[in-house]
Amino acid sequence: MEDAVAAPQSAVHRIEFRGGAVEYFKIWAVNVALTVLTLGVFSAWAKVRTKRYFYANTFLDGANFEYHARPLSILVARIFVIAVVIGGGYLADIYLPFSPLYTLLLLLFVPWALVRGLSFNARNSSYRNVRFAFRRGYGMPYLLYVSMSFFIGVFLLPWLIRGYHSFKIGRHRIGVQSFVFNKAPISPYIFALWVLPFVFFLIVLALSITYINFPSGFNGDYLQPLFMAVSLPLVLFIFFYGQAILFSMFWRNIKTENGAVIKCNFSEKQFAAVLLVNFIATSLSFGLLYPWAKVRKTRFLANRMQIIAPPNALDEIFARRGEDEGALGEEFDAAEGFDFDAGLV
Amino acid sequence: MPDSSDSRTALTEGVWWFDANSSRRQRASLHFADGSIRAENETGGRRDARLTEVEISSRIGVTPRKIMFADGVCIAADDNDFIDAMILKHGGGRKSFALHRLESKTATVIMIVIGVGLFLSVLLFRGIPAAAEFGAERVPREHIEKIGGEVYMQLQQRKFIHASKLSPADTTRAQDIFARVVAALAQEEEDFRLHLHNFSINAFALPGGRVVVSDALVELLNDDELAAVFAHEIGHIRYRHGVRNVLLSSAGGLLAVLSGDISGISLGTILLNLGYSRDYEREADCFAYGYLRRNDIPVSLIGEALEKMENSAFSEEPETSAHPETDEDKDGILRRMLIVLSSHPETAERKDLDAVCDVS
Repeated sequence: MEDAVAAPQSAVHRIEFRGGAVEYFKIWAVNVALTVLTLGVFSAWAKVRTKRYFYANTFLDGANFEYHARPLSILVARIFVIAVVIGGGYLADIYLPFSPLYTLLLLLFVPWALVRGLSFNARNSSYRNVRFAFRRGYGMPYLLYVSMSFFIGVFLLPWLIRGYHSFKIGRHRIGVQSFVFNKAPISPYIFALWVLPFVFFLIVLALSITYINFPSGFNGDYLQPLFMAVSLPLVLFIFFYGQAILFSMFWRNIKTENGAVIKCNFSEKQFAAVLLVNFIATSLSFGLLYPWAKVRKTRFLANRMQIIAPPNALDEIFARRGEDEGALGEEFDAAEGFDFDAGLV
Repeated sequence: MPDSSDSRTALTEGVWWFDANSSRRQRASLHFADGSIRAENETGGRRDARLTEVEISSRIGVTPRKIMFADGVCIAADDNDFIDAMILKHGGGRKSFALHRLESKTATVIMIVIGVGLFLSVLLFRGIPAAAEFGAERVPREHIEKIGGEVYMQLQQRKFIHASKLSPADTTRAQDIFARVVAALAQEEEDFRLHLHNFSINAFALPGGRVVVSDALVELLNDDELAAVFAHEIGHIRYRHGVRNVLLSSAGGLLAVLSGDISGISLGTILLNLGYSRDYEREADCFAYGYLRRNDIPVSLIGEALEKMENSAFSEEPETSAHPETDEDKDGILRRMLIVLSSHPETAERKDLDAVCDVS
């Protein structure tokens, strides 16, 4: 796999995550408590606080990132989503003829909201006092959503996802510096989105058949949970491996116009193992280990990712004035699961 | 700890100055006096402002504090305690670090975690079912009948149930028993109707008064056992279990959405859905129990009918599955209703109704 190539005489800039599990646990606990007490209203403030914690503790070349979103905007967006998506879904459940109308409504709304969400997050993120931005365009999201709604999406999935990565990266910029998606080969996408799910399905099938035909009785009572304990992580690992590949393809292929690139010094399998352990720990602890897991993942990535940029590139990012917009759709960026929120932009 | 008696007025270490238009940074110093703030950078640049004119970011962990001047110049300072002290001294609310105070005391946080855990448990196990029950009682009858009618139509269209193949004699027998049970229960609210269809050995109730019973069940059970099953199904309708379940499914999801970051809650709602079904079954059983006792029919018949159904179900081919929850399809609502509202031949404890139900 060819990574994006950096300009000659470039300097390596390390990424450092200075947050800690215990510190974040306390922030997270207070977030959860206040969210529950306010029946969810505080969730917008909690989200901003969490993002601020992870951004502000991520240092590139000694300077940190910042997240500036106003929680109120996020709250309004969330209320709107609840009203439209969940209210509509509930109506569609009760009154079945409303169902196709609801599908149409989602079809129109979700891709639009996704784009607005990307735009909102970008312009509320900054590095060294220069804001990011996202140039809005709706073609790719609609294409993706429509194809996935009809079965055709499955056949086109590797190309759709690669196209989505290209769309997402190519429209982001920091100040006047645009990002570019390096020409990535399609084979990792095919592997992650076709081959792995197929293997996943086969293994699940094989395991289910084995599980059903287990001998019952004394031996069976011990064997069945043991079997589950061994086979579940295997199956989950395949799932996370696919996620890790997609993550890797996204970040490795980011370039800036002036030749900066991102270097990822980890293998996808390593990252998948981190995700797997995180998932198991979080599940077994009823969610209490979630803060620890999140910090662990962020630290893993920060330690192994570097920016390689031409000399002084980080000092010479110039700002540009952008227009102001509303926050609607911010939620959908979090909901679309192709990219990880690693505290990095 | 922020302390307004801190005698320092200037910060010269760990302060960075960022211009408004580029990412270039330089070292700087901060000075506070009489409600105003001054920033000076190493190349001679300077900004003065009242504390009320600058935006100070709220404190989060030990991350650098950012102070934004009106023209876009940003100062980053590492010493949060100093900034907090200056805010207290020179005017500026505690708001800037209030949350941080809450987040930094470990004992408080532990109490919060325990408190939230308890609160959530109560909410999930008591609050939501109560809310669903409250809501279900208040849904207008017309809506319920409409839902029931829709579902019934869907069941037939999607071939969950097929046209009845029962003999005229058995059909009449079933209808007579049903009429008797309805009359005895004197339920004036809903319009109860018996629909006979060909599907697996089972019976279920739809909101609005339709009781759907399979041919095989009628052939399997005797008159009294059939009456017991009918009474059970009518109980489901009377308590609006189907409607409650619809409300519950949405409520559980709603809570998960509202609480945002809470992981593990989906696991809880799944577990709870099983519990709700058992509670419904018990309610319907006790309702039938009341009927049987009042009509001098042995109460054990509920259990015996269930046992018969269970024994027959296991000897059936897998296609006509009595356990619809094993397949997943888009009509989740239908599946849920079938599971909740059918006479589920599951636990042995259902036979021991004397202990469980109120004798009234």
